[in-house]
Amino acid sequence: MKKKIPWFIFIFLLILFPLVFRDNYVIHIFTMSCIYGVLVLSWDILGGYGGMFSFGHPIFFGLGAYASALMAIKLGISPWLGLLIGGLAGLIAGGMIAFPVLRLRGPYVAIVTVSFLIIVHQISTNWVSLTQGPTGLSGIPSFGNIRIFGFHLNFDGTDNLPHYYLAAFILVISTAIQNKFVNSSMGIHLLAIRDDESAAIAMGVNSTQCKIVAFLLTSFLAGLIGAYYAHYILLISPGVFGFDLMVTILTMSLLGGAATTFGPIIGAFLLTFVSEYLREFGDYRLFLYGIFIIVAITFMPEGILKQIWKKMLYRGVKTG
Amino acid sequence: MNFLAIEHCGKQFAGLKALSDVSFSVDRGEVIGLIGPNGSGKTTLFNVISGFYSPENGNIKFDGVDITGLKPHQISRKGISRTFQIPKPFGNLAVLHNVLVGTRIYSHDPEEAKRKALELLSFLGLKSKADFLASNLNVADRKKLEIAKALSTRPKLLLLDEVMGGLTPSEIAETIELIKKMNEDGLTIIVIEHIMKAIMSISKRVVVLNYGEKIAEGLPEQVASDPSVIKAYLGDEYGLTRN
Repeated sequence: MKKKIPWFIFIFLLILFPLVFRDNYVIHIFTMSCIYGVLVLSWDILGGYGGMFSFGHPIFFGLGAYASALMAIKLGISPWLGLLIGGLAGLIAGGMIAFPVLRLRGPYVAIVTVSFLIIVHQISTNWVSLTQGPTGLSGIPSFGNIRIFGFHLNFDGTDNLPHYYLAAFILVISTAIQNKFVNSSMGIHLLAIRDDESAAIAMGVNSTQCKIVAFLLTSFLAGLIGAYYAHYILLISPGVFGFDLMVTILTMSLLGGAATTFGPIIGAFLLTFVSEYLREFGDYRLFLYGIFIIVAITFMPEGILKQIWKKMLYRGVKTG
Repeated sequence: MNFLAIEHCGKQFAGLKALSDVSFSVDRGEVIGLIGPNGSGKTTLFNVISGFYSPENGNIKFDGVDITGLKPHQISRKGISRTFQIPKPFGNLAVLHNVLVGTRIYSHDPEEAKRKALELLSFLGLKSKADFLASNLNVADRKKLEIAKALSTRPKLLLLDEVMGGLTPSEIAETIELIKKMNEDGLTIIVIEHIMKAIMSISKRVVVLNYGEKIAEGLPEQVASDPSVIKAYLGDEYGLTRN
C-alpha cells in the first residue's frame, strides 16, 4: 500500500491543478507539461534505464504528429484513432532505428540518432507537397465534441480544460505502462545491460530483445503524444523534429531524475513552468533559464527526485 | 555420457593460437581444476565454453547437446554459468538487484525472486549488504557477488575464473569451503586458479594448459609431479613441488 502513495498524490494533483488554477492560459501550460511529461518519461526508458542516449526522440514525436494530422486531413480519420496511428508511426520508426543502433554504446547512439533526426527534419522541410514544408501543416481537426459518462466535452471551443484532462489521462496511462515495464524482469534486465552488457548476457539476458522492446515502447509513446499534440495545437511544422526539443527533453530528464518513474514528470512540469515564469524577464529569459539549469544540476547532479529520495530514506550510512 | 565434453577445441586470434586441440571431459558432480601459466588459454577456454568466443575447430557438448557456437545468453539458459576474472558487478544497482537480474528470469513471482536472491546473498555472506550500491563493495565482496550472480541462474555447471585472486588467506579458506558446499549441493564446477594449495584441496582432477595446449590431466598428485607441468611452471613462485 505504501508504494501506492506517490500514485495517489500524482493523480490527485493532476485532477486538482485546473480546479485551483482556473486561468485558461495556465491550463494550457499544464497541458504542455503533460505533453513534455510523456516525452521525457518515454525517452527515459531508453536513455535512463537503457543507457542508450538517443537523440532521436523528436523523430517519433514528429512522425506521430504528421501521421495523425495527415490521416485526419486527407482521409478524414478521427483524431481519436489518430492517437493510435501516431503511436504506430512512432513504433515503426523506432523499430527501424533500433537495428543500426543496437550494437552501439553511449555517445555513439547519440551520434547515429542525431543524424537520423537531422535527415528527418530535412525531409519534412523539403517534401512540401506532403508536409507543406516550413509553412507548416494547418487545418488539423481537433478532438471534436464528445459525450463521456454523461459529461459533455467540447474540444472545438476555446476552453483548454478538456484538452488538459485528455493529456493528463494519457500521462497517467503512460506512467502506468512505464511503471509496469521497469518493474518487470525486462526492466531490470535493461538496467543490467546499461551497467554491464557482457555480465548481463552471461546471466542469460537477451540484450537484443530487451533493447528492441525498449525502443518500441519509447517510440510508441512518443508517437502517441505527438499525435495528441497535433490535434491540440492544430498546426505543426518541421520544428517538431527540432534539436532544441531534444535538448529540452534531456534537461528535464536530468533535472527530474533519470531512471525513475516520477522524475521525468517532475522535471517536465518544473522546467515548463520555470520557462513560462521567466517570460516576465523579457530579454533576460534565456539567460536566467540557463543559470537556473546550471545551479540546479550543480546542487542536484542526479536530479530532484533522487536528492529528495536520499534525504528521506537514507538517514543511515546505506547507499544506493 | 560425459556431462561436459570439450572436443578438439581450437581458437585463433589473428596469428595467435590461443587454444590448440584441447580436449577433456567433465562428469556430473566433479570439481575440475584448470591450471596453467598466465596466458595459457584458461580464460579463453571459459569464453569458448560460455559462448563469448566461437571456436574455429572442435565442439563443446553439454549434457548431450552440442552447444558450440551458441550465444552466451543461450548457454546460460542451458545451465552453464561463469564468473569473470575481474568482477563485473552492475555498479549502479544495489547488491540485491544484481542477483535479482538472474532470479527474475526463473521465478515469475517477484517476491519469490527476491526471496531466492536473498537466500543466495545469505549463502555468500552478503545479506547484510543487500542494499549497498554494488560499486561500493570491496574486492572480496565483489568476488562473492560475482559468484552469487552466477548462481542466480540455477546453473548445473559453474565456471569459476580466479575467484580467489587478491584475497587474504582466511578469505581464501572461506571460498574453498563455499566451493565444496556448492559441489556437495550438486553443482559441477571447473575452477581456474593460481593458488595451488586451493586447487589441490578442492579438485577431483586437474587439467593443465600451456600455450593453448593441454599438457597434462589427472589426479592432483599426479599432475603435481608431472615433469612437463613442473617445467611449464619453472620460475613461477608457486612451484608445484611445494605442497
